[in-house]
Amino acid sequence: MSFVTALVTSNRTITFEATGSVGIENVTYVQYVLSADSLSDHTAQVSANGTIDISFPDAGSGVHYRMFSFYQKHSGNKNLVFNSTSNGSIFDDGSYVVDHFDAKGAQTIIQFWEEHILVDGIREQLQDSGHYGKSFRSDSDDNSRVTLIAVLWARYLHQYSMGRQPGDLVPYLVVSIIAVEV
Amino acid sequence: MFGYDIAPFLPLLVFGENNIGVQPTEPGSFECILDTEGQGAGYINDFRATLAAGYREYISTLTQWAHELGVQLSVQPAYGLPMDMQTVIPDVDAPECESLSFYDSIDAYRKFVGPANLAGRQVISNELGAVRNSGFRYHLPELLFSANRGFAAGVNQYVIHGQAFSGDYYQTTWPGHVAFDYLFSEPWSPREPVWEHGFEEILNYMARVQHLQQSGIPKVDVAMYNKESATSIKTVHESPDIVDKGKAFPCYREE
Repeated sequence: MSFVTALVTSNRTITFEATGSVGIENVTYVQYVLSADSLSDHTAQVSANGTIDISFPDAGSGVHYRMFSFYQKHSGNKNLVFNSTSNGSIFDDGSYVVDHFDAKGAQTIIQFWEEHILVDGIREQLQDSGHYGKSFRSDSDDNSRVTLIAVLWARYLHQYSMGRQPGDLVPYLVVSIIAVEV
Repeated sequence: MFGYDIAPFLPLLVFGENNIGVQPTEPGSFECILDTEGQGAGYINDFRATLAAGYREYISTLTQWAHELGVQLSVQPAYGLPMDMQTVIPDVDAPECESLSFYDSIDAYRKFVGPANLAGRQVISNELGAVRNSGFRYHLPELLFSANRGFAAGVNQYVIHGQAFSGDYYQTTWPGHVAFDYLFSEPWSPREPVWEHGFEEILNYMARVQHLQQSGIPKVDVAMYNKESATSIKTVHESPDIVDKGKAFPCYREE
């Protein structure tokens, strides 16, 4: 989805404390300082089979070039991971997280509710007695489940950022980051 | 939205742009910053604002459908994800925060209530009483404390975490169905001793205060400007000086 190169002028390893699900943990990561002037997008030069021919000038001591390849893949995050071989109804395979960043994700939820939940008199009962339709923020089609991801992405983010109208892309939810050191 | 291609700046987005609420220990294995004065923060802020714009589209689609159904939409908007919840709260009919990831912090609640008040939301909701490692260990005084923290900030509706199925549940003995494997308080049900000894009094208190808060008009003496591209739990104003002088204040963000 994108191929970017940059000159790394310095890097250091940082450790900090964070509270996770099992308590306080040490988190370690590497921080790279990139030269803003060197940041280059070479996506257009990547061939159809995913290869690129590229060369870099001599960087000098203490600095190096880095290549960043960005891939997008469907995360397939489900609200509950389980094994099942039954496939009689839409519920048998569990629920998937929808795209929370455009109308189409909401439409998917709405369609599911209209077809599978607001039937057999439920709709009327909701209108009679209900006040709020509830949606937890990381909603799957069924109900709240928090999802683990690499980088939040959304189908139309590229288009949004460039000020264009969203086209019809294959929906994707997770971007995998692969970096190769030169 | 911002008129430039995000692609060259993707290396800036590989760190800390995931589910920041539940992945605080997994921000990523490396981070890239720029050698400029802002270190590239502007690009990250633009990315987060773009996410929020898309998320608001998602919310407004659900809202429209809910209204067609004759109900309103209640959502826990944006917090925990790399977005500014304050920009999304005004879009939600009944926005909802929570005692768990707001840490019972009146300051954090003010960040939530401020935009809700500004947008004229009559109901500001809160998912109350989910405490880690406290299944069957959560006492009514603690629930009361937690409720009062929210009331103090302007929360005016509580959805209590949570109500357990009171009947027999297959393949279990007593206490039947327990969500979260006992991890979170509280599986409120007739099985709890307090169900008939004190719970009603607590709930009635909460109901009365909710009614008062919802029918009153929120009045504010001091407004504090606060902007984060991704909502954090960082304290905005810790000192009790304003409250001590008898003034009320929530937190707002720029329109």
